[in-house]
Amino acid sequence: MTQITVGMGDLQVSADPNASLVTYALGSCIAVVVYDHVRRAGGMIHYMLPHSSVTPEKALARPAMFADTGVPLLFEKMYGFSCRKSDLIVKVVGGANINDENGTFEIGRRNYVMLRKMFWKVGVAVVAEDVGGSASRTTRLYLATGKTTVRRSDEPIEVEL
Amino acid sequence: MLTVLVVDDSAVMRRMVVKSLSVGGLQINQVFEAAGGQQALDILNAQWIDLVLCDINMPEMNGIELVERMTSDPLTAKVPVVMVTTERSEARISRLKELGVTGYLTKPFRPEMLARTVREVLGLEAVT
Amino acid sequence: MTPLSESLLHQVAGQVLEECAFLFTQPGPEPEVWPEPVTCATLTFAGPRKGKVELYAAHGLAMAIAADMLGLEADDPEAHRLADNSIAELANVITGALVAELFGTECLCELGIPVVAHEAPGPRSESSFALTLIDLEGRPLDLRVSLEPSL
Repeated sequence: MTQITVGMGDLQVSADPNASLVTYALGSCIAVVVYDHVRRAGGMIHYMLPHSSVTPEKALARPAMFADTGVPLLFEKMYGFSCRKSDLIVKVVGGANINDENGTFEIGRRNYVMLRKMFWKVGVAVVAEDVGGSASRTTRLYLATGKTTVRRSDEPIEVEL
Repeated sequence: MLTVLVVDDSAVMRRMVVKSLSVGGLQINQVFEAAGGQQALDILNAQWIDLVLCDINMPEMNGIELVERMTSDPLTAKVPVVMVTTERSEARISRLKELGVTGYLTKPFRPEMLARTVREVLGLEAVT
Repeated sequence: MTPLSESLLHQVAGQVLEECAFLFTQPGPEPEVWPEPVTCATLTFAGPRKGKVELYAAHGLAMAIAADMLGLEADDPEAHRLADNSIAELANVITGALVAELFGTECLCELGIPVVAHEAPGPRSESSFALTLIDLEGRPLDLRVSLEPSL
């Protein structure tokens, strides 16, 4: 199986049924996982901060660092596979209460609430989530089936989300 | 495709309930809105309604009185009801259970929670 | 019965504001001057003790809250039209959550209907609990809760 790694502040999409998308070390960052069962296509973003307005030049270079620039781009890339919004299953992982390098206040929760605000505005439902707490997480999406798993740093095994 | 009646004296909350149903993936055919119990009864007597989503704390006729009136009328007794309310009192919840109300959600709620409660009450399949 | 405190108010109101309006707030200083028209929603409750909750927000913030609660753009005319109603509904949800914390869910607590007025908060009194919450853009909300004396 091909493994496509989604780095911090990065996003990836694929329709290769032999591939999986994986992202590691989700602390206060959030991974949004999207999957279309009809087209067997999926995508994942690992964003770090809620708002691009803090550093617009970085947002231009790496839009996937921020929820407000990255998440719409993830959906746009899925539409490139002819996916319809109503067919996309959305899952959310991360947003732990871990201070980032700058000690920014409650960045995990702010990342999460910003996402819910965006989803509410455009009408996207979250089917499953594993968010908050203090554990670091790894999440994986299997493109053949849409199965999504999470492994928390305080748990020994990978569980299905 | 569902025809729903949303009963709440707050216009903001009525809108949030309606939007939540569609965000939660429920197929809505038509929405009726009522700002109070009496207006809701008038609509129930004039329209086919598949589901009532109802606040409790409203002026004049509150949500519990509305459900009592609905259950006492054979025309409306079988219409499924989901209460969407700030009310958490156990006495009120058990009174509603006596009246046959199985769906109960406290504000603040998320759209996915409202859609799940509605699916449970109507026996619809969940989204996976 | 949990005693009323500023930290309980912050916990309850903060959670409601975050869940309903995606608004992050922290306790802050009471504004010296409220610059614009202010919306005030007042709600009474009657459980083991009677009391009232008042929630104040400047109109600009009330509009932003309405837009976010409804998932609209900030300048949408509907957000302007429903600004007062959004503050009334927030007061309602905060009060529902607060009385459950104060009195538990075993007893009956009647909530009133929110009444909206346009007035800035008056001086704080010793008989009520007051809390100013500031959002990430520095906009204030004022929350006041008073309990009637009990025997």
